[in-house]
Amino acid sequence: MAAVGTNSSFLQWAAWRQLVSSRGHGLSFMTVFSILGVTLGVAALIIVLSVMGGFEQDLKSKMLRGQPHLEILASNPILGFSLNEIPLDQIKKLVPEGAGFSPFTETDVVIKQGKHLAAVNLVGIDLKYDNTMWAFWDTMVDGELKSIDENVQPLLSIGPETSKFPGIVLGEGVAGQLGTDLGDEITLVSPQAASGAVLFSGGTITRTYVVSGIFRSRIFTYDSKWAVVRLDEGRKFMTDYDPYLDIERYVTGIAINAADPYEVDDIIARLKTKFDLKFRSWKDANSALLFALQLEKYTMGAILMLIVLVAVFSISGTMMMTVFHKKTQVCLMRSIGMTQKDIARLYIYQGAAIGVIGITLGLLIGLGVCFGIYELRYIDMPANLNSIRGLPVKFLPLEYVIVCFTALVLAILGALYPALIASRQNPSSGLRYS
Amino acid sequence: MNSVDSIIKLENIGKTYLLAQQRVEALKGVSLGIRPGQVVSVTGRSGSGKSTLLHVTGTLDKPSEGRVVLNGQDVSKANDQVASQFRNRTVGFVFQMNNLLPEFSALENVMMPGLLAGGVKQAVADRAKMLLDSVELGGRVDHRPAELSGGEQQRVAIARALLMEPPILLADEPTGNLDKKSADTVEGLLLELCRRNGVTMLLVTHDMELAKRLPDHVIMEDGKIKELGGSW
Repeated sequence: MAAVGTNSSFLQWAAWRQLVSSRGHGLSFMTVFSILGVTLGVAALIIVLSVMGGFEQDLKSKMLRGQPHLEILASNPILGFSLNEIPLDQIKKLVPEGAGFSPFTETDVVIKQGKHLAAVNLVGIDLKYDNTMWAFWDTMVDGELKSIDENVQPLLSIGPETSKFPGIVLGEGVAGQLGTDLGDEITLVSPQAASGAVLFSGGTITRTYVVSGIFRSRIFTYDSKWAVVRLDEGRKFMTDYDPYLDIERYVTGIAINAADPYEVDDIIARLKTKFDLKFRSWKDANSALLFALQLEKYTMGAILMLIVLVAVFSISGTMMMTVFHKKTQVCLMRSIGMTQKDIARLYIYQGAAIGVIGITLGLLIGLGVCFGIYELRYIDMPANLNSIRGLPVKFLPLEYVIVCFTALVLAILGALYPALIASRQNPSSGLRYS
Repeated sequence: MNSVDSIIKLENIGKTYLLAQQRVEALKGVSLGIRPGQVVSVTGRSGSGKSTLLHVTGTLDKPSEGRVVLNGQDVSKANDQVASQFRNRTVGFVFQMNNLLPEFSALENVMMPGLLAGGVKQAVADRAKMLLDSVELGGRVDHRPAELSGGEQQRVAIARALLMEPPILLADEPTGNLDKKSADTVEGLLLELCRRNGVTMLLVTHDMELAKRLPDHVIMEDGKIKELGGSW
């Protein structure tokens, strides 16, 4: 017969038999509770991580919906850069995965209508490019976005009846703040325009527009802060504007939407090798929020892992009782030739078995609940969260693997001390008073 | 007594325990040589060192001093691996009670030393069944220890002790917990199987009638051998 003490399959078999056959000795109950502890911890972790992942995904999709994935800006964003120097085609070649490119201007202006004032972020876009990345693109509730390309006659003309002014699209919040509606004549004032620019631009510091559209993106920042005009109008509010900027095709930046928004860092790295420009991704714009989300996720994960840790203490306690309860049996096994190492392995296998059963059940329950939430939308949300329409769930295979692996390692660690105690028993001591 | 052909040779064995921070000398300079095939009873009052002698002989415990030579090999300072191998291959044990692992059937209990040694399952099972037949338990192979009487459990333990065909059998009060009829059956089986297999047996007992029926005897007193009787 072969050497003693190396037969793993025998030890696994013996460990399993001891674990499942303990009914009637008052230990099965505790083993079941140890398993349930692990199950509960793993299931809770999987459910919470999945739901939090869902919320994160939901939030990210909202972040991505309203703003470009990447904005290429001049080193000094206020001054902008010329598309003649940095041609759009060159950018497109460098970013083959780009799904949309839109040169834009962006300036802070004040809108005045009657006695009402509103400070807004004026965005200038050119409708001949792909502008799907902007919050206002498909959220128009009144008028049309293409109206910014037209000169519109106000409904109530103050001046001559034939006067027409460029169209402007406002966020719903801005329109509400000004108490304005379609066809109203409004005035834009740029507090940033330099005095020199006033002379050269023929008085562009104050310009009149007609409200030709209103959008409702349901994103507060955009609805309450944004106004949209055509690119050449936006350019007129750029700091240090002079008519040559029109010829040079000056813009504040180029907005890019990537096929995969999570790969913007790669795109930035590539562009940085060619241009000395500034880059602002959706991640940068929301970095504080994204960091908070990550922190919340990991903190919740760590807190919930405490449930598994408590379960591991339960495993340890159960196994310690088993070791004391079965002292004679351990010594008996030593008398037939089991080494100290074999006894330790026997108990570690039992801890691992408790862990594996608990983890498997926890995984099944956790995934089952997640599928339930995902498919059936069992959970009623409070009215103020109705827009989310049920708890969002995102399946996170990598996180599940980490949870299961950590729980298994903890279960084995929980069994380690009892295993060492069992293995160090003097085989003679348990048989001495039999 | 200490002839070179001894299968069990104990040389000046001393064993000291610390119990409640007090030194207890369980064995004091015990020397003994047992020839192959010899069947020896060990008697003495409680606390005379009988069980300690058996455990030290069977490598369940290490002597504080002296040498234990089994089958020609000094095992008194053997590491855990070597001592375990000796217990698996060279020595079979039968204890007074709690001899069997309750989670396993009679057959599995008997098979255990063979499986532990990495034996082929079917071959081990065949031999275990043959041994259970020889102790008249062929029809109880699937029964758990709780479903067997005390005498039947001892017979299963004897079958297990002989599975690896050890040259040495150490029995610690194997009939001490049995009624007279069962004790007689177990005793008869033990002696018959030892004789048939040429096994050397050291049997600790309080039963003086049983001790008298064995060819050789050792009487222990206060950790020392008081008397050797029989063929010595």
